[in-house]
Amino acid sequence: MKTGVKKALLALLVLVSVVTSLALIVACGPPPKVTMRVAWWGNPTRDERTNKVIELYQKDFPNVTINPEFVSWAGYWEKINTQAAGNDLPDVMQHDYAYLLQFVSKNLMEDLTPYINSKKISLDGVSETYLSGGRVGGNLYGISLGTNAVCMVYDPAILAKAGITAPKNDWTWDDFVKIALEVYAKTKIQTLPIFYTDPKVGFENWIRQSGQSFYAKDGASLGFTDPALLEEFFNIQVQLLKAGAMVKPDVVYVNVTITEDQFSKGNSWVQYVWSNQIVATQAAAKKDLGIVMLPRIKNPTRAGTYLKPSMFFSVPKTSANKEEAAKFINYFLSNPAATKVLLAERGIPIINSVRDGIKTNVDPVTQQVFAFIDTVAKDGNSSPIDPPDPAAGAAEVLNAFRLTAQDIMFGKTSVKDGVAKFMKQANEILAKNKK
Amino acid sequence: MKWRCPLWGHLHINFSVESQMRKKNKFRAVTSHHLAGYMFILPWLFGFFAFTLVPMAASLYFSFTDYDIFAAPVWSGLANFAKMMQDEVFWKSLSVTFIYVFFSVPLRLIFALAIAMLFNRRAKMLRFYQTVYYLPSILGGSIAVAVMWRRLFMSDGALNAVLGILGTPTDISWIGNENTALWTLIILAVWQFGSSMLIFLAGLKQIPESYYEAAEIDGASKITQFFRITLPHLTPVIFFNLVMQIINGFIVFTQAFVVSGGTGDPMNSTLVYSLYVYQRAFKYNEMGYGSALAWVLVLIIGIFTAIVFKSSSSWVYYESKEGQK
Amino acid sequence: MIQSKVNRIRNAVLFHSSVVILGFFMLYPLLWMISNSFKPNDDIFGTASLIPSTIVLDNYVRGWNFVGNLNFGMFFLNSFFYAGVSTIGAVLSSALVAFGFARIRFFAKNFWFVCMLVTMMIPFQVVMIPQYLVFRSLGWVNSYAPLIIPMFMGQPFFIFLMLQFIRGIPLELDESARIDGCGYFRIFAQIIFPLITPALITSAIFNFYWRWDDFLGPLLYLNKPQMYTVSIALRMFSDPSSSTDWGAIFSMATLSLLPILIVFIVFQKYIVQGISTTGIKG
Repeated sequence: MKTGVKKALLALLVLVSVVTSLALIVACGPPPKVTMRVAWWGNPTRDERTNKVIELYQKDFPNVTINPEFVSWAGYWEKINTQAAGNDLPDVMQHDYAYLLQFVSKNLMEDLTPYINSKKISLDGVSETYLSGGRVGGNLYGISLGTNAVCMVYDPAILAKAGITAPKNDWTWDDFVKIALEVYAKTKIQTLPIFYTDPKVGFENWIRQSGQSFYAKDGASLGFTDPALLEEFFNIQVQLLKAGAMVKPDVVYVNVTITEDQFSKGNSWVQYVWSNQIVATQAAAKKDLGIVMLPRIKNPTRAGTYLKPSMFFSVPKTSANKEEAAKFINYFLSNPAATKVLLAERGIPIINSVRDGIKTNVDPVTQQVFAFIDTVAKDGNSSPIDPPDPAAGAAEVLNAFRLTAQDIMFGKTSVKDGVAKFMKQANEILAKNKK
Repeated sequence: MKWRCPLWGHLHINFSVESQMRKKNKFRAVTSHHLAGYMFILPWLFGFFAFTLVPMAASLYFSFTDYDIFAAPVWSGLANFAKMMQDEVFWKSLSVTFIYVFFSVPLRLIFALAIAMLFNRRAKMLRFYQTVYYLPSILGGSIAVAVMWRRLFMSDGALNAVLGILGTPTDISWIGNENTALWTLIILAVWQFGSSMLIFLAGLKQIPESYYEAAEIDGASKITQFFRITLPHLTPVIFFNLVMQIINGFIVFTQAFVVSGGTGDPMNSTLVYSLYVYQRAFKYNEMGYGSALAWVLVLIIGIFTAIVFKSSSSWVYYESKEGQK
Repeated sequence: MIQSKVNRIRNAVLFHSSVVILGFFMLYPLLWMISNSFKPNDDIFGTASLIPSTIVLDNYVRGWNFVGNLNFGMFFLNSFFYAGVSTIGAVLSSALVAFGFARIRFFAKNFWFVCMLVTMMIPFQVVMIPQYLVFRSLGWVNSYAPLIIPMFMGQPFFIFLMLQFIRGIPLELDESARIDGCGYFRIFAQIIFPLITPALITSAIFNFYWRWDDFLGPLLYLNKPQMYTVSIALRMFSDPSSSTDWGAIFSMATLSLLPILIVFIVFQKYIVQGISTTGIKG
């Protein structure tokens, strides 16, 4: 009897163990296979590094297969828009501040706040200034992959030759005009118009300093009614043009790449760029550059510069793998091996520890950019970013601004008339946004 | 004998009627003609219905709607067309495109025909020359072309360098000046005449040697041969090139896009019509208005094409018409 | 006797020299691009000279190796596949359709011809999205199907071109074939098709390089970078906010010209040869 009971107990024990193990295996099991699509635009360097990170990720998580889809900037949005129309968007997509609101307002993007709250995407050590650019209505739709700010780069050698001291971050537009005229008088080197490829960026800095914004809060009109500041913005440029100190408009308004522009050729002492273009600008100019913030207007109420996300990663609502997408974004942002590969190619990373970690690995010019962003992030040097451009009409307003600048610089219209026409046009275009 | 299609009275196409054939096989011909015809054009017909008709009909529909690609189109009737009439950029891009077509089409055709005639002979190195003259057109609208064109026409570019050597120095930025920028595009189109030249060459080669031989025997001079043999036999190909160049000229996009960066700069002087359609449809997210613009263009091109077709009966000679005399 | 020989030599010299001079102007931009592909990046926008002061080959190496495990060899193969297969389809199907329009009288022929012309007049930007939706519903996205299969349905440009050539062929040929008992298809295959060889070759050359340069189609319908064509890859070197590797672009663009050039040279002799319509006017 005793051995029988023993045997039975043993059998029962074995049975229970087997069943429990099976249950455990079924419950936890090997992780399910996931296939994801990650899309971005870029260049060979970015493509190389991003692909490497994807490889690292797939090595760390062998159950995940990521299909990278990358193309040039030219064509990216045509492709994405077409995919959006066909409900074919990828799982993770690189996004841009200019288009984010459009996509969010059409209900195409997933709100990432739950993933932040549950720490799936860890944003510890990220100041809100770096995140606010990706927010719409308080929700977070895009996570910044790098921080940007407007600036001016100049050739210190030209200034030295003209005996002019280099500008400091608290200089004014009057100082700017003075320097431009002096450089021309002493070296015959001219100045480029302010942000000539996208003049709204230049003027935006002015209007923000006056306490207003370019677009009204509801996006249904411009954010300012007094044309005085806009007229002043163009007046100083026309003044320089009349004095011969500005590059002629028919040379300026030719669509060229960074390598071909007048600054690289040494025909201008200054160029206007976003901080993530500094590396390329320096490489094309082949000289050491100085970086300085945009000058101050008379009686500014606040700083005009703001920290802008250079690009985001976002998750479309149609993705079937949102959890995995969030995990990937988190890996991308903070995994030490990954960040060592990516460095600062997309812009200055937003997580403090990551920034500090790679500061010494990057080239000297990028270190200059790091330092610049650090300066901008300091209190008083920047103010919060404006809400994203209105979903409808923004592109048209931008183009109208661009054409107005050309009209004025080519002398086809006076500053007063050009400004008045633009403001009327812009308000008409934006009126469509009235709800 | 001309066959006038009753449905399209204003547009008649001179398809030759095989009257002699019909007399011989009248009964069989009647039924098998139509069936055979449809069998031969079936590939195109099938593709048309499967892949082309629905998208074209959709875009026609969009032109009467407000459509921003993301949300469903909202009917707006003739609003887009009314807006077009007031749109000064529409008129500007239309005039830019007309100028482009008006100059680039004849210039291209003349160059292509002249060079093709020049090459229509036995000469050493001919195949090499043909290749060289053909090369520019295979560059199309590539990024290399864009960069090169800027290099040529900027204020410090090659053209001004050459002008300097010739004694007329200038620093005009041809490509940045609103009066000359479009001309750089026209020159680009003419530079790429090689494709038209190729078609003319093919047409020239199709003229049987026997005609020239017979003319030689009859003592006709080269000039007479050109006007009595070559030119008439070339007219079908000239007609083809004329129609296609007009159509392609009106819808030109890639070259203008890469040279101006999609902006139409300076001041919309290079904003050809397709570029404006692209701007509206994709940059401003107004696919409805963009479609309306596109269909207006179709109408305009259609009118021009119809005029050319109508005129063709008076100057185009088809060898196969001889059969009816 | 001697005078005519002198004349001939003078004419030949005139001919060759004017062709060469004009040819140089035609080619200058191209030569500039090729010479740039052998210059180090720093020199490329520096001088307008056509002769590189230093010749380097690493532009080609960098360009070819592109990114990661993707190289231009892959892209060239893809482009060859796309351009080659679609050319065969386009030429054959267009010839068939052209014959139908040219030689057969059938109901509503003019109507269909006009439809065909109209399809050539519409800017692609306004049809590309509905077309994408059509292909998506067929499940063809992320493959070459939307790019190649429509090529087998005739191309209006070539149909019209071949139409014009066929109408240059005398009807007596068709008639005598008919008397001999040939049906439409045999007339097409044995008589008309060989006689429009120049048009066929021209169409083949055109279609090859149009497909080779096609950017938007492959952009929209190919998602896997391994399937990309040369036209997509060439554009991926330039990014507005970063340095452009011009050496790599020019080297790959130069290389990309070679297949088109070879196709042209190989087929050129068929255009130069010409045709003869035997036994008609004799």
